[in-house]
Parts: sequence; C-alpha cells; structure tokens
Amino acid sequence: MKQIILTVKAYIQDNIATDEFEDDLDLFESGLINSLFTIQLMTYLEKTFAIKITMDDLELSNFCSVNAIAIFVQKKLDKIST
Amino acid sequence: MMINNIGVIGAGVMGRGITVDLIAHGFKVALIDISETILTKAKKDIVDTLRFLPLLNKNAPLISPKTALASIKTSTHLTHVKNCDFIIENISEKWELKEALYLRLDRICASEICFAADTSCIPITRIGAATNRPDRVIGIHFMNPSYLKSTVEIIRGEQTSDNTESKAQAILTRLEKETILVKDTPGFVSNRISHLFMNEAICVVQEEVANPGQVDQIFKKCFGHTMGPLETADLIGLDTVLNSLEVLYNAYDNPKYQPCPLLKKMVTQGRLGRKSKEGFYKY
Repeated sequence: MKQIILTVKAYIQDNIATDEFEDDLDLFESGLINSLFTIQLMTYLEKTFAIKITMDDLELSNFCSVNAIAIFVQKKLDKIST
Repeated sequence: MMINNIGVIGAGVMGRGITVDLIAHGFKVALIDISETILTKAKKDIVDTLRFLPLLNKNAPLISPKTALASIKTSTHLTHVKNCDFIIENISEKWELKEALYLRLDRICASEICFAADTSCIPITRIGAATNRPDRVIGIHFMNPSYLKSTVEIIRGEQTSDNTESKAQAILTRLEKETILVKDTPGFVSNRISHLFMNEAICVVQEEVANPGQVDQIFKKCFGHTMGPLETADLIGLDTVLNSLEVLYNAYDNPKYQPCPLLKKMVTQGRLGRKSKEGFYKY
C-alpha cells in the first residue's frame, strides 16, 4: 500500500509541478488536479498497476485523494490475485 | 433535415474533444486527419475520455468502448465525409491549408451541407469566400476541452445565412452549449484578447521578470482565473498560439501582436506544450 501511495504521489507531483501535499488532501476540491489531468491519471493507474477501471468504479470517492486511490488500487489488485 | 452525422476534420486536441462531446450527445462522427498515426492515438484518447467522463461530469452518459467505437469512423480520406450532415473543421491555423481543404470540401459535400470553421483567428468571411457556399459557412469557436465547456463563441461571416446559423444553433443546443454571437473580425473576441495575454506573459518570462509558475499563479490567485496564460498556451499548443499570433499580426498590421522571440524559439525546439510533453511546464 505504501508503495502505491509513493508511486501515485510521485506521478502527480511530476506532472503538475506541485509541492509536497498530504496523502488525504482532496485532489479535486483543493483544485490540485484539473479535469484533463484526471483522465490522464486514470489511464496511468490502469497502465501502471495493470488494472481495469470499470464504469462501476467511476465514483469520485475512489479517486479523491492519494490515500483513496491507493485503497482503490489495492482492492483491484487483491481481486486479481484471488 | 435531422442532423446526426457530423464530419470532424482534424484529429488534434480540439477535434478529439469535440468528437467526445458529439458522441456523448448521441451524434455519429466521421473523424478525418491526414495521419493514420494521429487517428489511432485520437481513437484511443476519445474512447478513454468517454469512459472516464462520468467522473468529471455526473450528468454524462456511461459510454462503453464498444459503443464509442461504433459511433466513430476514422479515415485519412476526406471523401469519407461525403454523407455527413454537417462539417466541423479544426485543422492547423494556416490559411493555405484551410483554403485547400475548403476547396475540396466544397466539391465533396452536397450543396446544402453547412461548414463550421473552428478556427482560432481566420475570419469566417475569408473562409466562406474560398467556397461556392459562403452563406453556408459559419464560425464556431469551441473551447478546450469542449466536453467540459458550457459556452461557445459563434461568428457569422458577412454572407452567413439565418438558416446556417439555425442549423449550428440546433447542434449546439443538443450539445447543451450556450452561445455568444459576435461579429467577424480576426481572432473574434476571445483570441484577439487572449493571445495578447499569452504573448505578453511569454515576454515577461523571457525578460526573467517572473518564472512561468509565478505568472500563472498571479492570474489564478489574484484574478481568479482557472488557468494562467502559460498553462493555457501549453494546453492550446505553442505552435497553434504562434500561428494565431502571426494571423493576428498580419491581419491588423499592428506590432502589439508580434510573437515573442521566446515563443518562436520554443516552437523551433519542438517544445509545444502538453502535446509534446514539454512547454512552459513538463507533462
């Protein structure tokens, strides 16, 4: 889980030229990520963690913070391995 | 005539966003570009964006990749728009390319078909004059990304008919867009003003008065803009910004539109913004 957090956070920081931010910061409400980057982030998650984001997964709560994303990705990976 | 099939010419940033918007609102699209590579990439981007669109707009329909792919036909052959009910053109902001394209479109499409130029700066009257149907040519200046923007600037050329405007309005109503109708002048209202902003912001960076982040923060934090001028330039594409400034400079013969040397240098270096992964920022 820690590794997922580090990977996702590094990707966000590399792509939007932002300083350090909290893992539970609301990425949307804070304005840290915009709509274009959101789509880029979704495709990055699928590619990097070899997961498929389905229509049922399209809830902001799954992606609203780095912590939420990590929990979502971990759940997806757990499903794949079982 | 019910308009359902739209020909979108140019599969760059704007063409892709408009195609997403059209498919999300039930239209079928024939997407044309001169490059098969660009079309392949565009198709993937369009399908991905449609998949994730409900995350950004809770009213957006759920569109599976299968449905999206069934709604779009891509081709490098312009003749594939022959049966389209309406054309939206988004090619590079270069007059020679636009003139050649409209001459061909005029021959390919039935005489009653209207053409909408999604041009940044070139006057609609000039585009209309390149065809034998100047009354059926109109300007629709979509904002980027089209699928998240509620408003467009529309421009009537000197000869654009009421019927053409009605057809364009009908499509835009279906796309849930508010429209602002302005008169035909190079750059219209939006780009005539915004390109001055962007050019001057680039001059400020060139003179090392401030770095790109500082310039954009001033616009966002002090003026309340969603994006700063340099982020916007990166999003549009610095080559497009340069082309538009050159059109404005030539049209108005006014040095205030003279492109900043740093902009020219970055375009020469291939630092075009988001599309090349580097501009004023890295992506």
